[in-house]
Amino acid sequence: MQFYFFHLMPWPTLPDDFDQRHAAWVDLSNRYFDPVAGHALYNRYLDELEYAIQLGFDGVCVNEHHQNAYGLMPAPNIMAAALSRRLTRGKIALVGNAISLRDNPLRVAEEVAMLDVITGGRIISAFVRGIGAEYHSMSLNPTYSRERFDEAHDLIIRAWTEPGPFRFEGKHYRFRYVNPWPRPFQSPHPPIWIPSQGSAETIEWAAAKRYPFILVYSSLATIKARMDGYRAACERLGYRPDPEQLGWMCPVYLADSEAKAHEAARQHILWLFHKGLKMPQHYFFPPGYLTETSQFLVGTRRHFSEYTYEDFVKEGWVLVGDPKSVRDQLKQHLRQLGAGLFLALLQIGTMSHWETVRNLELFAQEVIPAVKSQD
Amino acid sequence: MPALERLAARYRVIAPDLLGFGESDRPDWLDTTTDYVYHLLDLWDALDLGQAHLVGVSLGGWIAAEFATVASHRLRSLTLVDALGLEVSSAPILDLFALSFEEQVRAMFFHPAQAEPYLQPLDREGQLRRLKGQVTAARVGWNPLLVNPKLRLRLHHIGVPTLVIWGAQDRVAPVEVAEAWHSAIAQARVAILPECGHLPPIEQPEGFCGAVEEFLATV
Repeated sequence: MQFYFFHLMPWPTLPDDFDQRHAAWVDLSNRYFDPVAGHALYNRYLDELEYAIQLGFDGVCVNEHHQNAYGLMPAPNIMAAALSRRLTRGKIALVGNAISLRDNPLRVAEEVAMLDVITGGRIISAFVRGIGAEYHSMSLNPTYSRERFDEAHDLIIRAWTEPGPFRFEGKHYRFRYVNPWPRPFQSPHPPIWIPSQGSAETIEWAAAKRYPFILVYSSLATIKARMDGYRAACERLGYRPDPEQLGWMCPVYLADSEAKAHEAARQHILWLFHKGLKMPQHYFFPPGYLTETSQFLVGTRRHFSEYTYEDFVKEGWVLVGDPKSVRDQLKQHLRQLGAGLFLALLQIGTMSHWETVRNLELFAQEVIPAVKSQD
Repeated sequence: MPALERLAARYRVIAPDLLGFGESDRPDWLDTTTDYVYHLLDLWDALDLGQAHLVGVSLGGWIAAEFATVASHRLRSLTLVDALGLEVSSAPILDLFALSFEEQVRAMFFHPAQAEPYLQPLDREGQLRRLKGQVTAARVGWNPLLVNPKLRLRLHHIGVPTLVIWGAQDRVAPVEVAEAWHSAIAQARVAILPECGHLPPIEQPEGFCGAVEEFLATV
């Protein structure tokens, strides 16, 4: 069982009239970003990631999102670089590089290999497609999202594993000399994770590659169904997946008592789902980002704005409570899910530094050892 | 569609579902309007059309203009109706992809009531057909946004009489774009239809058919 601290680095100061606006993405003006406050915030957030390793987390996660207030990490590899010389132990998980958004995925192969060599092999390299809104933000054709992901993935893995130079002739990417220096420290390459909301196509693909599959932002029932789907896909392929091939990313809020935890967590959880993730459906799912059949299905799905705080708690989108309750819930859920990776979002929305530190400490001291000891 | 029926009373009208729209599937290789041009050349040969009049609306207008730049000799005339495809920096095409379906439909019309029939719920098959069209439009028009920046350089290859019909209140492709087509194509004339949005054949079928018939009579 491994525990990671997942940070989004949100921009908490939204305009007063934000509730009248339609999105925290794409067209929320960047004049609401204050560079002076941003300087303090980046350094605070990096301190929190470093502190998590001191507290005994197995690793920390950084990620990639563009042109939004939800998360200030357009370049996860820069965040990982900032951490790489400060952290002498623990993994740094890039969750993940949005490889479809890159016009030159060889740059990802190079940057991740650099990080892996600098850290002596402590990099985990997740790959994602980027969310729908990013195809608007980057004016990138969403109908090519999956093709570009598949091709960029193949290019990066080959670049890491086949001696160069060699030619790569794809539809979207063509290189006459694939020959990146440096090569990664880990052999054959850093572990690949696949974070997903769990489309059937992604489940089959990740199972075939034996890549750990990380479920994000779903109810427990959905997460269970997707993980069961992944296990079934593995079994069809003739193997039984290791529990550490299944990961769950979940917002967690701890306080000394149940009542205090819920009282304090409510505003941050609602900030995350109702503000940070606020966008119209056609931003989330531009045409061609999903297959037409999947797109038809999401058309019937409830929007985050329709969920109350109580819904998020009851359906297991979040874990909130005192240490004993969170510990018991987590043990029970992980057992039911058969998952061996837990990515805890312990800074949520508008949480202050001290609130985050307290949350990290309670989780590291009261939850991780107890859950690990039952392994 | 009443406009097509009226024109069909006087002319042989061929109105294909373009690749990736309506009943036509979208082949994997389709990604630019140039692909439509070559497909249209195949269709032209298959139907043995010789020389014919070509009319295109919106995305179809863009394809018609591209076709005319490479196959003007196959045309007797060209009619561009609120055609996309031509880049006019002072009048960019509306980012339809950043709108919800309902907003897209409402942006098509001057008279709000005209939008209503297109906003009725569809069955599963109808929704999938609509999704197919939306994906096709994104495939060919996401970026550059519904224009071909090189098209203007090629318009001098159009050597047939050309009519540019435009809805005066088009919110998708502003009426300035009509003037740009007019000035870039040698034998072009313009008909602006009042109280009309992006889709004249639907919103102003009388005015649209009248303009087409009057033009074809002079060719």
